[in-house]
Amino acid sequence: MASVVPPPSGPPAVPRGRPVALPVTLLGGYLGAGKTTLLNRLLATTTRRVAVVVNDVGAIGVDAALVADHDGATLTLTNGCICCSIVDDLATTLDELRSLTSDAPPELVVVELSGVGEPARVAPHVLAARCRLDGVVVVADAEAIEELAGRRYVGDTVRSQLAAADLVVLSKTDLVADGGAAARAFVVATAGPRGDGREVVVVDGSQVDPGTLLGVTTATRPATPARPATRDAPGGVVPPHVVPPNVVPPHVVPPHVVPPHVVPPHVVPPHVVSVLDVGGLDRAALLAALDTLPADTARAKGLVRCAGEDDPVEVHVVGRRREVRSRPDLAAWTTDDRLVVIGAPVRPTP
Amino acid sequence: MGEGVTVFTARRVVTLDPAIPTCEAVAVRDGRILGVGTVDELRSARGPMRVDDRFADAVVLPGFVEAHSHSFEGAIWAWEYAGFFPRRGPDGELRPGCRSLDELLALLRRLDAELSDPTESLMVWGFDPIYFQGERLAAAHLDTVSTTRPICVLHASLHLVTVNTALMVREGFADAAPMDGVPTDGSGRPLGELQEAAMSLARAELRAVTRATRDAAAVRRFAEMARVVGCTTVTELGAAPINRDSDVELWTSTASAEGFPARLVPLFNPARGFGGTAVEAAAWAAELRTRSTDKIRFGPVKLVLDGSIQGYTARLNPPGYLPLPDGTPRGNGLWLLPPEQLREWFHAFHRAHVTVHTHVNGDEATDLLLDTVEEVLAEHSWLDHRHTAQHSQLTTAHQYRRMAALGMCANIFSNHIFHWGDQHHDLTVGPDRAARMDACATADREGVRYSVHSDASVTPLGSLHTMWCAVNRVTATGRVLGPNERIPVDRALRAVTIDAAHQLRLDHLLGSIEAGKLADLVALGDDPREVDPMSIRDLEVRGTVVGGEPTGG
Repeated sequence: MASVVPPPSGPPAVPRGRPVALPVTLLGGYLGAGKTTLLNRLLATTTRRVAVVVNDVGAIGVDAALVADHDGATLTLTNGCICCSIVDDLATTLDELRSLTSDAPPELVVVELSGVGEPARVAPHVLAARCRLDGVVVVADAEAIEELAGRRYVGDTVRSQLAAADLVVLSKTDLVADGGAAARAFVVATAGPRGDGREVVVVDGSQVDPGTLLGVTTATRPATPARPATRDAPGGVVPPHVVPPNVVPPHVVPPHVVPPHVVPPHVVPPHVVSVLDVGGLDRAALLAALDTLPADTARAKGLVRCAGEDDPVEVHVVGRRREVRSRPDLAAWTTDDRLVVIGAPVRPTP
Repeated sequence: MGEGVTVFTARRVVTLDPAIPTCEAVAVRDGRILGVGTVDELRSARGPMRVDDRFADAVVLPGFVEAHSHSFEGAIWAWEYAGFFPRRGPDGELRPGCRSLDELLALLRRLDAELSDPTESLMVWGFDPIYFQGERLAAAHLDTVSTTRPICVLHASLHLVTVNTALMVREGFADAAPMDGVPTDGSGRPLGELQEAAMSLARAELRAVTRATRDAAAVRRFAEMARVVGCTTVTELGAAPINRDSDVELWTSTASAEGFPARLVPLFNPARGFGGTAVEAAAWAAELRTRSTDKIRFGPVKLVLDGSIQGYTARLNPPGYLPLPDGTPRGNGLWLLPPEQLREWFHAFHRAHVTVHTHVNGDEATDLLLDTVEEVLAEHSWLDHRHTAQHSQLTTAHQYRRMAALGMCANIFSNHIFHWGDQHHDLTVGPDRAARMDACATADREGVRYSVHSDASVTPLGSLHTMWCAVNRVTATGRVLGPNERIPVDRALRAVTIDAAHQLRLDHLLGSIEAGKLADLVALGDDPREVDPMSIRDLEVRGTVVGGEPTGG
């Protein structure tokens, strides 16, 4: 009877003695509020390295269908808990993301929650992954939020989302006669005071530069002394619109998830976290699948099983360099049947 | 005539067929039941046949069907068991369990000595100190086993682990707790307990556990566990991903091995990373039906609506959970799907005539499910849909009346009464609602066909134990919780055989011993209908037969 846990694959994501503080923004809001629209706008305009984690539990076929094409250009969460918790796998996902991007870590991770995801319940799992909770952004539909917050079954969930927000983005303000004034007042009253006693910050989604939503905590909560400053905003009062974008080295481009059909033609998403399904392939088919990766793939990595081979196979793609080799010494390790690819969208496997 | 016919003789055969409730022998041919009766009757009708009398002193029943379990029950046995109660493993061997801290440490020392690499981590599971006197397990205890090897003790509740200092050093938090859920001593040093979300701080160990179900060995052990407890069909109710051909292959190729000892029913759950639209999910579910093999039966699908009652994450109607001990009200639980998403999936599956099993622990979740089923039935008529409320723990009499009107089934989590009944009585919902939880008798009164289940490995796999729970409703501390919801033994027997098969859409093949059905049998030491109801769970499982073949050699 084996009682041995295989060692963790990849480099340790939490090196001893070095504080790790990958900042994570939780993006919440009820189904249809406009989370994905906001995310796509953000990704299409940001100059920063942003990694996106899409929680497709409960929103598959809706959010995920908008975010990813069918071969799955997303790094998705799965609900791995046998005791019914939605978020148990988030820590693992963040862990994997970090080890996959250890060469060039993202500046920020955005976790898009499902329509009924409650940021307050998800936040501990961010901390458990040894990441820093950078902020909670909740999108609210100006036309629907008041009705939703009183609706049977989900009203308390919607109110809990607002209560956990550091910043609320009002969407669809062009559809309401008062430009969202009533919705804003409702959101402020429903969310209640923040920890520092102030009212929640509400911005108009049609006006705000989505890039300024990153680092939201320091940008919008300057009076909270307990919050550490981020690299963008060193404490103090910094209005969201003056947070400067970082200078990005030309070869390091933001990983993100944008379905090709919603990207404006002039904006090419240069760096995408995607997933290549290699389950059940033999060595030749695996190599053929790797051939489908675009030439500008930055990195792909994984330990997989090939049909007809006893030992696990390690795959490393770095730029145009490719290594595929048997690892009998890792026979006891847990393997994947998907490769996570940092690069451009993956075409369907053959 | 008679070529290849075997007749199993028994002290008694309990058929679960009301037309011929008992008989003496079962004839089988080509994996199917050829007939029942006496050996003479069978021979005069069918000619010569080979007598197999290995169960001649046993009572033979239809093999048990566990309609809500998870293959994690097989996966977790990759590690050693450290629970309080003795438990039989997939190899059939009885583990004595750990009834004290010293016994746990002795087990760990033995396992430690078996490992050569001093940095390799060591994990055990099922630790259940609720009945222990004295000290609470801490890193300091585990450090007496090893100061170099990371050690992780997974508690039975699955909401807590205890780790040693070597593990905390590896993860860089031995000197300071990095988050809530990590209790510390007076000086701020973590004590070694990692609660809830903080469990993930034991990264490698937790990751290995959550991934263990993707392993063919786990599938094999799951079937072995089923054999040991007398189940001939067990379900994987939507926890393992079944999204791609390679997922299907894991199940079908593993189960195609000669003598694979049980049938498995894996349910597709689109929330486990499928990634397509609702219509695509329904098409995949329909496609899966065509991939079934003799031992792997695809068909129904699984959705999850809310959390668990003991975790305070199930969705409850007013008056909700009991307040905290200091009087602070508790909030409601959480939804895992927005109602719109449930409706979209349900419509698509229902239109494709795919039976949907929906996890509903709380009564508010049950309401949402009933509203949804009512809506899809109004939109598309399918009378024999068998949509099933899974767990159905707080479902009330009026909800059972609605379920009956809508033609739904229930699968009731009877094991909860034993395993968490005292907590429900004292902490979660209080004595009155605890007394009508898992209300099998109400389901009977209101005309809903139901099964009862273990949700293994949340509670141990074993239909005799589950029957015992439904029949006696005795809690871990010996309290009878809700005596008016107890059901008779023969009713419980139906719940773990024919009615379980019915909600899996397999009752034409399984669940009773009748000519033409698959020859899946279990042999017990005695007739559960005739023993003291309190000893049902102690009945000996002498063996099982799957497709006419005795399992386990």
